[in-house]
Amino acid sequence: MKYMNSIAYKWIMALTGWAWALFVMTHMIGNMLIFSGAKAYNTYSHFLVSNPLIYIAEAGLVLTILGHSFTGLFLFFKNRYCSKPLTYSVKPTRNKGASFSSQSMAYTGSFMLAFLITHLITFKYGTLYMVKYEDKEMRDIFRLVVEVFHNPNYVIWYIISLFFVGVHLSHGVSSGFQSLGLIHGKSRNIIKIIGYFYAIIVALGFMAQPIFMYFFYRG
Amino acid sequence: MSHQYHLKIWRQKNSQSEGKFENYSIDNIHSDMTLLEMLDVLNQQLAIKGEDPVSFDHDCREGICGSCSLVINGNPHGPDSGTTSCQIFMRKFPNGSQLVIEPFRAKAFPLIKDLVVNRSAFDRIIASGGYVSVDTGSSVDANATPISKIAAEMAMDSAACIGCGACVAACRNGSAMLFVGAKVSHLALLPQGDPERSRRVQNMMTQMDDEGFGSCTNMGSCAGACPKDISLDNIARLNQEYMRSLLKG
Repeated sequence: MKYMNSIAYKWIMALTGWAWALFVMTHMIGNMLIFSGAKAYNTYSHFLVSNPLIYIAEAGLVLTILGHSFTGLFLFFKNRYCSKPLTYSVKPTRNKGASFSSQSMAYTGSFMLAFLITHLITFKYGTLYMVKYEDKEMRDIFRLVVEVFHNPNYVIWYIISLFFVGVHLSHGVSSGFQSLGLIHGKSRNIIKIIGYFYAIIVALGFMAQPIFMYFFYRG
Repeated sequence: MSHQYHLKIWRQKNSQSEGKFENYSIDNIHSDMTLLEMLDVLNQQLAIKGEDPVSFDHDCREGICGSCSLVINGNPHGPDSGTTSCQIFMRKFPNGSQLVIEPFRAKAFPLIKDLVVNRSAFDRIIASGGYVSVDTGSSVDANATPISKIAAEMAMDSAACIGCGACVAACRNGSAMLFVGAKVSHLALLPQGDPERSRRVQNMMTQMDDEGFGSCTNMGSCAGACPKDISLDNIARLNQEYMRSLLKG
């Protein structure tokens, strides 16, 4: 028996995908502190990066994204090889149940990976401003965010990227339940709706931040 | 009612040769004929003209054997849900319309001729574990093994799979997970299948991958194309069964 069969790959995709789905949700909620102003945002950021647990969390995120990306790409190419020697000449007229998001996971995923890299370069490894609150010096990440989100090009790029994050999550979150065999009968539709809501909340939550910064924040 | 149709049918001499679409016009087709009967009429006409008739798979012609295949206007088993190709009646298609008829396409289903593909990969998956080993002897008493109504119904739903391969034909990845899911579920839900269930799911999954079927990405086209309405729950159960087999051995 081979352990690495099609089901084992599904679990890798489901578990690593869920890890990142949880991360983007907490990331989005944490970043909402941007609406409370510079001090709250910077203190929160400082609390995160000064915590020694950050290294474990970062290592986990790197490992899961690598696992997810490589397994996903491997499956993409394997499935293309196993698929049709010739495509059908007519598109199916009957609804086959496959949504746009489920068919485009490899493409939206690759796009997200590119976005993630530029995102890290822009913020995590971006300009280092410092600020002092009550004699405690910390990074002024808020200032960088304000700067970046006043650049219309970046705001557009960011919103487009977040749209694809939403599309990817709208299939991914509920798909994880199927992959781990946690769907039975009637729960299918409920889990699908939960997946859609999860994707919408994450995408709109993140989008609200650059939109607010660009149009309303004149700090 | 007598109808006329424009047919565009995939013709290919054998697995080595290059195939192409041929156009045929056919009239005097009664609206109560089935699609396969229409193909019979066409083949009769081709035979009279001395041409090679169109090869296609068929057997029971009542939707239970899983022999017929065909992708009709892009849909495996045609435009209706829960219907096999042999149970499609020509009244479904408006008079004068075009019908594009292609074989099931998947790497693991090599083409034999015209519309006939080799689906013996499914037989080998079944042979790797899709059965119950029983002691021979006189038949056991009815109801000697109690089975709950719910388990019996669910097993029956899975057992409805006729192994036609439409799930593979519809899948963008050419995956056979719905088929394997249905076969594994059917036996895992019943006490008769219990003693061999771990071995069964592991061997059948290995065989599926070895046959060159793709991996499932939860798109759901398979369930949409299935002539027996096998649901995606069978794939979820297959995933769970595999996990169970690793934990329990």
